[in-house]
Amino acid sequence: VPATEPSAEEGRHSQVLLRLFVYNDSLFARRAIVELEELRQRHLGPGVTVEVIDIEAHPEIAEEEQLLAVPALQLVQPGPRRRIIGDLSDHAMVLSSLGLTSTEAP
Amino acid sequence: MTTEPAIEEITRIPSGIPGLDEVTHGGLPQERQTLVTGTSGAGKTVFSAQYLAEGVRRGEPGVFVTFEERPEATRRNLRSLGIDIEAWEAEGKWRFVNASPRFDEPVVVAGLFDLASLTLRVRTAVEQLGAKRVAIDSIGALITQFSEPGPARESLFQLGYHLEDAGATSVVTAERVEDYGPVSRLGFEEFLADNVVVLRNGLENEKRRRTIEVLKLRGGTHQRGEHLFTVVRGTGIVVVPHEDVDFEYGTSTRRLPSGNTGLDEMLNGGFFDRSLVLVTGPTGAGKSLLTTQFVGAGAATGERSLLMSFEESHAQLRRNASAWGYDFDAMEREGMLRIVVSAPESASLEDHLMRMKRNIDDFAPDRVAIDSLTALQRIATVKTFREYVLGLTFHIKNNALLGLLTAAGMDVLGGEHPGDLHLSTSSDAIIGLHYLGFQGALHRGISVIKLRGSDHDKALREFKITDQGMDVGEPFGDKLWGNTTQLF
Repeated sequence: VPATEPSAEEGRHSQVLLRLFVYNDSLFARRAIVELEELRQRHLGPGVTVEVIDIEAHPEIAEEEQLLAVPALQLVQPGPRRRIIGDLSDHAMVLSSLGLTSTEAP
Repeated sequence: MTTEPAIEEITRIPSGIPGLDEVTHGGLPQERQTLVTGTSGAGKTVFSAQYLAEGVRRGEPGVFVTFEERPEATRRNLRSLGIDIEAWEAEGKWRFVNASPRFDEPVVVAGLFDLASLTLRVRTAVEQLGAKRVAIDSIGALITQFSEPGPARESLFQLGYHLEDAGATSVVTAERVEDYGPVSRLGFEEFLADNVVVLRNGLENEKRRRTIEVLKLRGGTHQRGEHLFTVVRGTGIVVVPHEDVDFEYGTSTRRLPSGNTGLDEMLNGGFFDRSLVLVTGPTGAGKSLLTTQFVGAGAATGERSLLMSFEESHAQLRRNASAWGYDFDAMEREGMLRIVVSAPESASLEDHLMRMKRNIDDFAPDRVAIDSLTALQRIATVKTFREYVLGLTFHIKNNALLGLLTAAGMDVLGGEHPGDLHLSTSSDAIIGLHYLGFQGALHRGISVIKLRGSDHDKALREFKITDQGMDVGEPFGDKLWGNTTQLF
């Protein structure tokens, strides 16, 4: 049992686990990685963990996740799971579908 | 020395669909993609599965890419075709790539994407299994998973090229909205494939009519037009091809007895060997008797007969024959006769045709008699019936048999619509049986309406049915003038 409850804002962000599925170093893959980094710095808190998976090296994961479209960003935690496909250039869509609010001062 | 023009050599492989390889003249083009389009429920998934299963039976593993039905559903459905996919999956002979929509994980789009993961998954499955056959079912179900068709379209093209490079032969299915009209709903699928097959499942006069048509096929010829098919439990799609007729054949001058000396005289010596005879006449006019004599003459000259009856029971046929002095029992025992009795309504026309072909292949008769076409006519639409008759006549001719078909009326000859295929053109001889009323009595008449390749008696002759069979007498001649009613 933690001694102190984290604030609601911190709590939500600290538990966030994202997986970014990309194909090799394709153009879309590079773009998605850049966009996600930018999102992270500008909008997401430090408690957000991102795992980048190259499906070419791990086709068994692509099969297991029944992936068709890449890049795909998967919200693993908190559940329920959801998936955002595309190079993540639409930041507003990414944030709203992750259910996260920006940490950037308005 | 002459130089042959370069012809692309494309090997064909068995499709796994009984009858289709006759239509395609040898199967599907190897290491190519074949597009199979059809309306919903036309049989596209069954087609794909049969195609893959054929490969597995030949030692070629297969990959089934499903965009619509989940693998569990496909496994279950195919059990009724006698295909145990789970066993094959366990042995590494069959693998699903499940690309059906996932409803447990909502998806949104936030930018540009492609379907590199789909391509990767199919590629991986093909490599790991060493698959030679791939089925992709269906394009429409993939496209509708995304708000825009571009990426899916592109990945299908890539996949097509990749599979060809990998030496795999693939079948891709696509939806069409209507049985006739554009080949596919999305209007681009046909460019994917040099080979296109259409499945149709139409209603004609409230009767279902399923057909298959090969629109184009690389590296060789194929039969044109629509061919009936049926879905048989335990097998799946079975195509009933129209057969190619070899017009070289049929110039025989050898005569065979009809079984009736009077008729043989009218024919100037009997039926021609390997010809098709049509006997028309109303009920009771003597069609069954003529059929019995036809079979009896075969047995007497050492020719085996197959009698397909759609009107009378086995016992009834035997009784009638015995009343006219023929012993069907003995003929059957001696292997000179096989009688196949079926109720017209017991099966579709396609099934009746297949049963007849099986019996011909199996019994190898010299003569075939079908009594009657009219009984079969009532269970099918005009179009289906015409296709059936064509299939029937071609099969009899291709097997170089002497065939005798009976019909109640001349309407089976066709001819209402220009371009119709008439039985009158495919039959080599037509015998008419008639009822005539004059001088206060009913008389039976017989005439040779047509005899290809020979002169014949043009007279309408009277005949009587006695315990010796049919007794053909004198021409009616002048008796008919002025006071005759031709009842039929």
